[in-house]
Amino acid sequence: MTGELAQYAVTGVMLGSIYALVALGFVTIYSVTGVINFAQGEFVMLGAMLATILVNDGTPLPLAALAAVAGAALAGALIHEIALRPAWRRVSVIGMIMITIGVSVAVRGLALLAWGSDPRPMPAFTPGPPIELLGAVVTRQALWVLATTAVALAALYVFFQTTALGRALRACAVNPTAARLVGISPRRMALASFVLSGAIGALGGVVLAPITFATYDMGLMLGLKGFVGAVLGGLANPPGAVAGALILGLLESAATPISSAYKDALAFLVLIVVMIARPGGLFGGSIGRGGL
Amino acid sequence: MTETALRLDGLTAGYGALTVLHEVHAEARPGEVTALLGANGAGKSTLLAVASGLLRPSAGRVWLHDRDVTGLGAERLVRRGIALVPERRQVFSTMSVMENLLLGAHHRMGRDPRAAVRLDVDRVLGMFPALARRTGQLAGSLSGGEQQMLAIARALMARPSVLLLDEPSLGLAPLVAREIFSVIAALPEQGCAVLLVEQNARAALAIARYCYVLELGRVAKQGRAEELARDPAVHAAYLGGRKEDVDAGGDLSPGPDRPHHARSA
Ligand SMILES: Nc1ncnc2c1ncn2[C@@H]1O[C@H](COP(=O)(O)OP(=O)(O)O)[C@@H](O)[C@H]1O
Ligand SMILES: [Mg+2]
Repeated sequence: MTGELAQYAVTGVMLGSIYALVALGFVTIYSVTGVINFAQGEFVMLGAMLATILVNDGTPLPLAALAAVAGAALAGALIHEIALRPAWRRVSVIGMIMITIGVSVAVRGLALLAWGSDPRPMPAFTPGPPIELLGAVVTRQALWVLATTAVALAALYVFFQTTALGRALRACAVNPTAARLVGISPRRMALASFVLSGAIGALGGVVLAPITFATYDMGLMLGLKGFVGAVLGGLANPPGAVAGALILGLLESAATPISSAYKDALAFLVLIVVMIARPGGLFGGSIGRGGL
Repeated sequence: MTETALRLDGLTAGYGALTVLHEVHAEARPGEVTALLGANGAGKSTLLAVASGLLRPSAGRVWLHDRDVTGLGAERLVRRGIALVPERRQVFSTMSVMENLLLGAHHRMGRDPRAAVRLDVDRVLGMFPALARRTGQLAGSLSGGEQQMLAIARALMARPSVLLLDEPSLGLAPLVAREIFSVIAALPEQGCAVLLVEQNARAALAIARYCYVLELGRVAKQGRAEELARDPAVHAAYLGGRKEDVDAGGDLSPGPDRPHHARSA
C-alpha cells in the first residue's frame, strides 16, 4: 500500500516537474511583459524534437541537449522579434496573447512539415533497469527529470537573485516605468524573457523525450498543463507556479488508475475550480505583475 | 553666455487628444535648483515626463548640454545624464534597498568598475543615514519619507547631470520634508542641475535660484526665486497670501553669489 502511494507520488512529482518548467516559462514572460505566451509548450516540443534528432544522428547527448536548449532559446528570440515586437504598443495585451496562440499553431505546423507526424523515440540518458525507491519503482529517466528540474530551479533562483540581468528582469516585473527610468529597456527585457522561457521549456522537453517520445504536437497539452500549474500558483509567483505544477502532477497521477482517459480533463477541471474559488491562485495574493 | 544643462524649447505635449503643455520654454542650469510651481493639473508632471523621455512631445525640442535629445526614451536619456525622481516615489517595492540602489546604477553595469558603483552606494547612503541602516529591508516596507530618500538615492546612483524631482515632499511630515529639502539644496554643489516640482512653494523657493510658474500648461511667470517669492500674485496663489511668513522665514537669500543672467522665455 505504501509502495503504491510512493509510486503515485513519484510519478506525480515527475509529471509535475515537467509542468513546473513550462509554468516557469509562463511566469517569466507574464511577469516581465504582461503577456501570457501560449506558445510556451512549443518550446518543450522543440527541445524534445531537436535533442531526439541530434542524438539519433549520433551527436553525443550533452551536446545534443545543449544544442536543443540553445535552438529553442533562439526560437524564443525569433518569436519575440518577428511576431511580438512589431505589435507592442499597437496591440492590446489580449491581442498579444492571440498572437502567441497563432505562433503556437504556426510552430506546430512547421514542425509537422519538417519532421512528420511519427513519434520519434529517444534512448534513455542512462540505460539500465528501474531503481527501487521507498517502495516505488522508478525509471532512471524519471530520476533524470527530477534532478534536472531541481538543478534548473536552483540555477534560475541564483540567476534572478544575483545577476544584473536577473535583477533587471525583476525590476521590469515590479515597476516597468521605474525600470525605464534607471535605464532598463522593457523591450530588451521582453526579448530576454522569451529567450529564457524558450531555454527552460526546451530543457523540460529534452529530459522528457525518452519517456514520451518526441512528437510535433506534444507542446499543445504540455503548454496547457504548464499554464494550469502557473495559474494555480498565481501566475506571477515562481515558487507558487512550481508548487501549482507539482500539485497538478500529483492529482493527475492519483487520477490515472481511476480513469486515464479523463486525466487531461482533470487539469482543466482544476483550473475552472481554482479560477472560481481562488482567482488569485492557491497561495493568495492577486493575479498581477510584480512577482519574479 | 549662459550655460544651460537642460533646455526645453517650445514644448507642446499631452495625452492623445488632450494637450497639456502649450509651447513651454524652460531651462535648468548646472549648480542650481530651479523650481517649477503650479496648481494641481497645471502640467508639471507632464513637463517632467517629457524632459525625462517618458512622454514624446508633439512639438518642441529637449536640449541636454546643447545636444538635441528630443524623442529619446527614458531608458536612453538616463544614460545621457537625465534622471527623474517620479511622482509618488515609484521605488521597486518588493526589492531591497540595496537592490534599488544597484538598479539605479543599472546602465553603468559593465561600463563602470564595480568598485565605483560601490563607492557611490556608500556616498548616497551617507546622504541618507536612515537608509544606511536598512539596506536589506524591502523598499515597500519603508516609511514614506524613507521611500522618498530611496527614490532620490536611486536616481543619484545614475550620476545624473540633470536631476528632475517631482513633488518630493508630497505626503511627508514637515520634519521629514525638511530633511529631504536640505539634501536637495546641497545637490547642486557637485554641479548637478536640479529641476524641482513642488507643492510646498515656500520650501522650493527657499532653495531655488530661478523659478517658473506653470498655469494650465503655460509658463505664467518666471524669475529669480527671491523675486517671485515677493510677487504678490505668487504670494496669494502659492504662499498662502501671508507675506509676513516669507519675510519671517528669512531663508530666501539668493545663496552663494554666482552671476545670474536674466533669462528670456
Ligand atoms: N497619463 C495620463 N493620461 C491622460 N491624462 C493625463 C495623464 N497624466 C496627466 N493627465 C492630465 O494632464 C493634466 C496635467 O497633469 P499633470 O502633468 O500630472 O499635472 P500636475 O503634475 O501639474 O499636477 C491633468 O489634466 C491630468 O488629468
Ligand atoms: Mg504632478
